[in-house]
Amino acid sequence: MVAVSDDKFAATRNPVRAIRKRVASRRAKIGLPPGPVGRPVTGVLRQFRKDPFEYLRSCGAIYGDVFRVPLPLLDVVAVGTPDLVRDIMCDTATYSMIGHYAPIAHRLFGKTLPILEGNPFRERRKLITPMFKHSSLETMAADIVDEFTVRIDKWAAHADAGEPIDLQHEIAWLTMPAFMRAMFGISPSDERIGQLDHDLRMLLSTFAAAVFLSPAPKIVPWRGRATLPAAWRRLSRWIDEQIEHRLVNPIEQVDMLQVLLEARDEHDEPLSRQDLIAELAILIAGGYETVVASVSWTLALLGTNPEALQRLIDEVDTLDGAAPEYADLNRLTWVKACFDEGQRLQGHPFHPRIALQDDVIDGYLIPRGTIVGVSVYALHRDPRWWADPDRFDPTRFTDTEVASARPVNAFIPFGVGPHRCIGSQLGYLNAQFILTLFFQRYRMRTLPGWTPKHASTFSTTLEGGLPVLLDRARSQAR
Amino acid sequence: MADAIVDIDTDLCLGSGYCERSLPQVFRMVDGTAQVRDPSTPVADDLGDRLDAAAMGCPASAITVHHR
Repeated sequence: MVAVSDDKFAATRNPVRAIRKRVASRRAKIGLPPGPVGRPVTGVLRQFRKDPFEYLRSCGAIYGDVFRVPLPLLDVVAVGTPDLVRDIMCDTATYSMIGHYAPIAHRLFGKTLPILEGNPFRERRKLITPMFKHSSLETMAADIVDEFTVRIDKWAAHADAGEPIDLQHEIAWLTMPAFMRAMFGISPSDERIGQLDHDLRMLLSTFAAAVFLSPAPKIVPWRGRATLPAAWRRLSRWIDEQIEHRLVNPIEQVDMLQVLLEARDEHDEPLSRQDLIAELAILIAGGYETVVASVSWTLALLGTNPEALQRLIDEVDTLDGAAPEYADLNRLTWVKACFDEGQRLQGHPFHPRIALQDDVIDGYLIPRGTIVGVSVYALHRDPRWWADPDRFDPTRFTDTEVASARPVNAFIPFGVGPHRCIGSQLGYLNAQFILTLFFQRYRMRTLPGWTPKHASTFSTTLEGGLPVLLDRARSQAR
Repeated sequence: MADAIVDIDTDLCLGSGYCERSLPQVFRMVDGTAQVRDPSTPVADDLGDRLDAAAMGCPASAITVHHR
């Protein structure tokens, strides 16, 4: 164990909090978490920004399961065990998604599921839940498969031309229109998908920038550069148009847009237009971009693990080239395991909460206002729960003995607790369908010397995308 | 002997069936929604960690276990 160094530059990073922390610690007679010292003012920002994945993992190895991450202005503490993850993610009275920033976020952006807590959170979650239930997914499955099929078939042109294709980029063109069609009955043009993809990524990177995981988005317009306010205006205007269109053209059946439009609170008031636009923006972003990242990681890792890939192809071939259906999902167990293993190694550098009051974690004081989070990347590669953790091995999820010996919260790709991703089951459906349809049609070769690298984006994408060469599968059904 | 009360918030249940698969003696699926098999009887706490794991493993976070 290293000697615990004092956080001697705390006052240079945030003088007010440095004094408050010290006073609180003396008064409670409880020490603050250990951690690196860093530089005056910037702390460890340079190392953190360079590679937040391995940096926090290495800090955990040095400082233990609770350590400070000295960053400018913010007080950040990382925790690293499944039990501690449960403690901060399940106790929403002590740890909230955005804490005391909620009122300003609600005013600027709108009240949406990820930034609500308490009863308003539960009511909104209850409202949206039916659309993500298995019974709803079953009715959406055929539309989703159809949308994927039409678009994946078009990749054949790249295979025939022998030119590289960036699968990470292309998968966004699968998941966004499929989600739009299934949830909102909307079929955006390719040009619109491109614009929405750009604007939603900018919105998501703003959330990541709040904890220094992405560069801050540009705010001030200058020589036509892309700015956050312009992206948000364009995005919210388009969503507003869709709402207006639906109000003029109501539908008989139930979809997400209709559910949100018809919702009434206890005063019989509908959602405000601002809240409605914000909720739809978050649902669209969460519904497509996260799958782009996790499926890209799975494909990247399959591309460098031929044995696991062959087993996946063998499983996919049991469908005899038929389009996968909802009922097939339970049979495609190796496809699912590969996706889980892909998500495990993908990881996320830092999944945060904010302390609403002083707390004590593992004997260390956590003053109110501290950002406490977990490096999902480090947790997913901790040798205490994962043997040979950097190796791609989907049997970790199919071997029931191995899987049940592991704490449940050692694997948290969808988060933990009340804010756990509402769309996790839709995520599995999307991933299993994409992987199946893809390998029914193609084989892929990564470029010589290529290895997957983590990009610190909202959903942890692949740095530089996933450039591959495609070949038509010999067994493909035509 | 200590026992536990298990609550399922059926408004939040996604119908994934993880709970029934992990502890069929406690949970069952009815019309795509999870239920506690015998809500009137507290669950024996000898299931201990497995009960907590089933609650934590719920993709909807719809299960709460109150140990008494």
